[in-house]
Amino acid sequence: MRATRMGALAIALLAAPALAPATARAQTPLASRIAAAGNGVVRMSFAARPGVCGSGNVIGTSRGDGEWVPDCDHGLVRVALHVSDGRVTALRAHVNGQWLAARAGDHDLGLVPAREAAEALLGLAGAESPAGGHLVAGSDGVAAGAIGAAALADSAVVWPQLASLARSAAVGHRARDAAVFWLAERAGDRVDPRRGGSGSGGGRADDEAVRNAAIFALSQRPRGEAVPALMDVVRTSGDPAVRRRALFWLGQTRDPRAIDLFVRILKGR
Amino acid sequence: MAEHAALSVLAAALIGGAAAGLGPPARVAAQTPDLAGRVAAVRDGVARMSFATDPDVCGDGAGAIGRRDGNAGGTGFHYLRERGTMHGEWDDCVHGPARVALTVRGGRVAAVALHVAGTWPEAGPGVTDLGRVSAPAAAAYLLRVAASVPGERDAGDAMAAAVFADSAVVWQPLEALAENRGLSDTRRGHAAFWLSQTDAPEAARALGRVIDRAIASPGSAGLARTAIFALSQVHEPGVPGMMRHYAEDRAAPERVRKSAIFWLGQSAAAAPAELDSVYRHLADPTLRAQVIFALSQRHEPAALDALIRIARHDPDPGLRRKAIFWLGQSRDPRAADTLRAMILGGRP
Repeated sequence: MRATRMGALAIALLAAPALAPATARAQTPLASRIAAAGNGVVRMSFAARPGVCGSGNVIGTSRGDGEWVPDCDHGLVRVALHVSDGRVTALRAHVNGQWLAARAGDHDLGLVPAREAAEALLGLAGAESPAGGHLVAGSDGVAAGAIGAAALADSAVVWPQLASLARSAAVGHRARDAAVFWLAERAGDRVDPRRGGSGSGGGRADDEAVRNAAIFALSQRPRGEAVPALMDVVRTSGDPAVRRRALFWLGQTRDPRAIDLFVRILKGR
Repeated sequence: MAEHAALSVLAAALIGGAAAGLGPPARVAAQTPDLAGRVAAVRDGVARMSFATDPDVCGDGAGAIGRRDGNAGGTGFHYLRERGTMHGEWDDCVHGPARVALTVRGGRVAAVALHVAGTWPEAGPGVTDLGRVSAPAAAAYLLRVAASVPGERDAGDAMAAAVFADSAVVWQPLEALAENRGLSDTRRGHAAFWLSQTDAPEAARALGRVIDRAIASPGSAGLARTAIFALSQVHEPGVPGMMRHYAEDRAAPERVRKSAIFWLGQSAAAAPAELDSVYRHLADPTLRAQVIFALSQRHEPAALDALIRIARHDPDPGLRRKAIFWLGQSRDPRAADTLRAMILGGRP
């Protein structure tokens, strides 16, 4: 169930086509290569984080729960950027599978370092203008897709940039929502590294389902009640799976207090 | 107020709507030969008539018709048919005569238009004004028309006009219409609804008979549900008990029982404890889920208490989840405390 929801969210976040800005930073070598490729489709592939898998158009982020594994395979993240005059007009991300033969004028950068890919994609999501050779996202949706693809990259520490984007008034709402979502995911990984395992609750599937229903119901309370209550659950629950679930729903509130909490967790405080 | 709005919409839905049918009881027919003959004599055209309405009936002279509210000291009204520009205060809704225009083709009534208050526009060619007629006689005649006029909406308007007629006793012919298997379920449902609006002390028992026969008749669950809604609109002390009976009636189709539970929950006369008691008596999870929903629509603390008990202690996890969902939607601040305690308290 979680895999399905997460998968759906991942698809929504990764499916591309508002204009996004953020802090200007120096071009990474990879970003420079992408920008230098000019108009057309720029492809690149990079290693995916553990737990990320793909099947068809579905990208999942679940590792199973000890008795089940998702029916999709771990593999490379494959990103195609449609570039036109310094703007990325569309972005498609896939996990696993194969590229079809490139068309004339398309550029395949091949296998690139995952950290550099993540940095380039987040830079794209936050870039304000194509000045200075920067590529910019041509829409809020492209920026959101870039954030989602960056979040899949192996070994990349993306949460500081995610936090920055999540708090930025300069990026579009879809990009901001994507940043909050993936920030919550990262915080969830921190509190529940096993992902999905039941802790002190005894492990009965029925109890877990009831408890999950209670966390969801709590998230549906008026925000003034829901956010402090969910934060209290994150702080005090002894069950990592419960804490992760509460973090997920906190992410859905897009509340600044929730973002602060994610950052505190990720900083290990 | 929300209830009234919902009822008005339902009333409008019940009135809106086509079928041919059989005539009402002979006793009614015997009362109205004169009026029926005068309308038939028009042959082709429009026959107008007006008659006195019940003192609590009002209208805007066009499509909207209301009835004085028993609540709030009788200073308000609720819509019984369509919605107009009147704004809830009795004074906005004008008490007046019912004005009925019957379109006649070949001596038979082909359409019915009902207004309350207002005035007739100038009569054109083909319009015959029968003037002011006896309200009971008009009611009896219109209930015959309700059985025979082709359109369902026209039939509903004819029934409504009969119910609004001053001093007319119409519950028996309406019950007969509701029981008439020669009519469509839609028209029979109209009859059940308007039976509920008669204020006759016999209305609840008459509706009970309609429901019982519908439950016993294969394929009549829809009519039974409509009649249960109609019963819920009758303000008699025995009605909640009747609704509970249908909620727990194992011979009734599930959707009929669900309707009974829903309307029991909507009844201000039924305490949340009554719903909770129904829950405890039912075994079927689908019906229990309907009780949970009915409880969720009540805002008394006792309803929340029942939801909390189900959420925490019901042996069926699926029903617990439903109760939990509705706790999340509750306005009562105790709901958040309960949810948090369930999440943090080990076994939820």
